[in-house]
Amino acid sequence: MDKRPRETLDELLEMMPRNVAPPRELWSGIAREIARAPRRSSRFAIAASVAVACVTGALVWVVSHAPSTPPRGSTTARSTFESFNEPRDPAYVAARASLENSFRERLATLDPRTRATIESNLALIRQAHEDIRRALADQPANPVLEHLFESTWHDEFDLYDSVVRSTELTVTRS
Amino acid sequence: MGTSQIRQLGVVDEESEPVRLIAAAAGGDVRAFEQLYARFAPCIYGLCLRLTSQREAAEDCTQESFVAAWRALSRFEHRSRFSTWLQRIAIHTVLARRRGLRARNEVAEPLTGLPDVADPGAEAAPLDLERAIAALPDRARHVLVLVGIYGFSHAEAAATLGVAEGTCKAQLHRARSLLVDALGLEE
Repeated sequence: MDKRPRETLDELLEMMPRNVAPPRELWSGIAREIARAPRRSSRFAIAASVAVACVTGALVWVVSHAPSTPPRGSTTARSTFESFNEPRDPAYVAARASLENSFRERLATLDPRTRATIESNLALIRQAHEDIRRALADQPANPVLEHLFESTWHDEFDLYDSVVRSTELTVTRS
Repeated sequence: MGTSQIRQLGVVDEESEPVRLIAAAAGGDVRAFEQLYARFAPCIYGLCLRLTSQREAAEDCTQESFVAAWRALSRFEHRSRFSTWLQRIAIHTVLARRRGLRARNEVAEPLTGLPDVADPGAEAAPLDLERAIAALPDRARHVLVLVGIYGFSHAEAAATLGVAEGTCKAQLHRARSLLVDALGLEE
C-alpha cells in the first residue's frame, strides 16, 4: 500500500461526516415510548393531586411508593435509565409546601441545638441537590447522578416528614 | 430560559439553536420534540454508530437517547448547545448499554464479518477509515470518536467517559497508532 503522510490521518478524520442519517425510521418507536411512559413528574403530579386532599401521611406514601420504573411493553425505544424531574404540579407543590410549613412550625418548638443540627442537615441536602442539578446539566442522563438527584429530593422530604412525625406526640400532648 | 443565557451561548437565532422548539418540547409539545428529532437524529445516530460499530445497536441507542432527552428536557439549562447536551446523553446511553451487555455476558461486537459502518458519501472519508475505526478496541475507539471526530476536548471526553484525562490521551495515542498501522500511513 502506498504510504501517505501522517498528517493525512487528521485530514481523513476531518473529512468524516458527523451526521449519518438513520437507515430506517426511528421516530415512531420514540413516540410510542414517550406516550407509554410520560415524564415522571407527571405521574407524581397525578398521584399527588389525589393525595393533597388527604393527610400528610398519605402524601408521604405517594412519594415513597411511586414506581421507579415506568410500565413497559414491547417497544424498541426502551430507555436504559430513569430521569427524575421534580414534580411541578400545583397541587403537589402546595402539598409539599404545606408539609414544609408544618416542619418549620415544629422545628421552632425544638431546643436550639437540635434545631441547629436539623437546619444544618437540611442545608447540606439542599446544597447537594443543587450541586447534582448543576452536574446533571453538564452530564445529562448520567445514571449515577440521576439516582443521587432523586435521592436528595426524597431526603429533603423525609427530613420534613421525620421532624413532623417525631414532634407529633409533643404537639398533641401540649 | 433567560436572554442572558442565550447571549452567553452567543446564540442569536432559531437556526443556530432552536430555543423555541426546545422550550415547547420542554413544556410537553411532542410535535416540537419530533422536529428536534428530525434535526438532530443524524448527528446522534452518527455518533452512536461510531461508538457502537453496530447498526442495530446504534438505532436502539438513538431511540433511547431521544426518549431520555424527552424525560430530562426540563433540566436542560442552555449551558451548552442542545446538540452537545444530546450527544452527552447518547454517550451515556451507549456506555450504559455496553455495561448491561457485559453484565449479561453478552457480546457487544459482531462475532463475524465486518463491523457496521457509516456509508460515506462521495466527498467523505474513505470506507476503509470507517472500518478501521470500527475495528478499534472499544475504549480507544470511544476516545477517538469523541476527540478526533466530534471535537470533544480531552477533559470533556474524560469526564463523559468516566476516565482520567491521562487515560483519555493514552487511548487516543493508541487509537491513532492502530489506525496508522491499519491504513498504512507513515509514522
